[in-house]
Amino acid sequence: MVTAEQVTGYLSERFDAPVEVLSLFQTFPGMSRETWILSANIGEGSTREKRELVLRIDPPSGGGVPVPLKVEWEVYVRLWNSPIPIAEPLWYDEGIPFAEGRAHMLKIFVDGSPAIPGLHARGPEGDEMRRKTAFEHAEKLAMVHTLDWKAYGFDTFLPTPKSAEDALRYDFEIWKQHWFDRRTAPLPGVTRAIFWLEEQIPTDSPRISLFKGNNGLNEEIWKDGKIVAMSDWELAGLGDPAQDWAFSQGMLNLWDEEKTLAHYEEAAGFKLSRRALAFYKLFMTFKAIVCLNSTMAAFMDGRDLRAVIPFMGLGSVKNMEYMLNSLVGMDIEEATAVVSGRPAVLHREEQGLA
Amino acid sequence: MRPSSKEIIDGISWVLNNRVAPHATEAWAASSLRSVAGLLKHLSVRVESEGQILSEDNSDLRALLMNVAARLGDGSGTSQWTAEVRASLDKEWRATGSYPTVGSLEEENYALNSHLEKFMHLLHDAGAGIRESETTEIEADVGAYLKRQMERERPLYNPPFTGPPF
Repeated sequence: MVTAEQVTGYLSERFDAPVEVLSLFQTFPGMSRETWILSANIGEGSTREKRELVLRIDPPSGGGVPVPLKVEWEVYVRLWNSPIPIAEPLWYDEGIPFAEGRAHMLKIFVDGSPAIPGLHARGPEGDEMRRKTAFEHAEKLAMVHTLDWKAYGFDTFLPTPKSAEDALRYDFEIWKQHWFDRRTAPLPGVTRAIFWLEEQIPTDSPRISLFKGNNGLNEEIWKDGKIVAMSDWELAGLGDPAQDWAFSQGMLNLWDEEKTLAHYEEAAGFKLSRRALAFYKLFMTFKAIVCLNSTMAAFMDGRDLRAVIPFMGLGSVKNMEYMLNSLVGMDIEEATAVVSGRPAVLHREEQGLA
Repeated sequence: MRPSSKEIIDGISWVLNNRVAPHATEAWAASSLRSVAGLLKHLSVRVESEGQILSEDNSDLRALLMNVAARLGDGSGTSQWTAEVRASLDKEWRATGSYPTVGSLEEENYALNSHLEKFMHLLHDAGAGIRESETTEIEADVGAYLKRQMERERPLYNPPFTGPPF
């Protein structure tokens, strides 16, 4: 938690000007990192200016993903000079008195909302809104996935696979290592699922792309039917673009999946591997297991006592372990079809993600 | 002692759900209560079954590891693992005749699961120098054990953790 008084003192120092915080609130939800939206008058006299800002701060556990906030900051810095719509990054800091030394970054607030009015309306109007939303998202993802990441220097700080063929295995090895380095207890059921997935890693990725990692419904900032800022790049990386569709938080269920993907492929100029997409739908569950379980170390040593941490780090993880083990032995496309064939809400509830 | 721990936990759940939650309208407060509700449901089951689940799981794991160690013998690729497993199986995890505390059962369970996980790595990485026909049988034994383990633990996690987590 941070208070208006703390933020006032901190911003006054950083802007080297008087600051009056007019409002400050933490957005909900947001479990992996704290996001605070604030409005403040900065400066005095003729230089006084009202600014809307966003503070993104690591929780006391150090973050709900095994990637430092500094990496997300570097992504923002590079994207700010690119065609991808994002909030303007101002600065990053850590290890200072503000926020008990926790890593944090400041961005300019972008006017808009993660909520999309009318998205769940019934009838033809609702259908058209869902189609337009899915297509707009597809076009923006195509922009991300075709960005010349070498020209923008993403390979200078993000792990980079040697080839498209190697992209999925490279990503898998990184997350496998995260699991065995960070898990709070041996879970042989998860080990079994990892080895089952590992035997079926596809090698037909079309290209190495910048991927967002965490995207889809409720992740971007929308205004007047358009994405005005792509937010939350905490799991961004270089690899197979299919994973952004596998973890698009319901975007593929919004409209006809194949028509949405066809629209994306037309915009991107390449075809996605459907087998890689199937693989990633299961691999993302494993990534969730890693993120949720590794945060529990901070709960157990008392650094971060939020109740949601053991709920998801223990309960959701055990339910995901159970679900993955019920699929072991199947071909990944068959397994994905089994999971996809069940009501999405049931799947999410079993995982504790509803 | 009465009320039992389970009865007290269920009472706390009732109070939070019926007397506190309707008034906790701030998003983060309501979210914390939803997480707490799931944890209390979990504890309500766990408080009366954890010891038995761990005890049964330890027996099951011991049988599995003994079986695997016997099949492997002292093969060069697995001799260290076999020696570590035998040491754990021979270890006195609690004084003979003493009450098996949950803490001691948990400590034993953690160690036995670590051995199983390590063996799965050996089998996956190098086949552990075992004949292919035997590997298939061992993998089937491990799979069957894991299925029993997860079904045994299932009531701890489902339904307690199937609602909204936050």
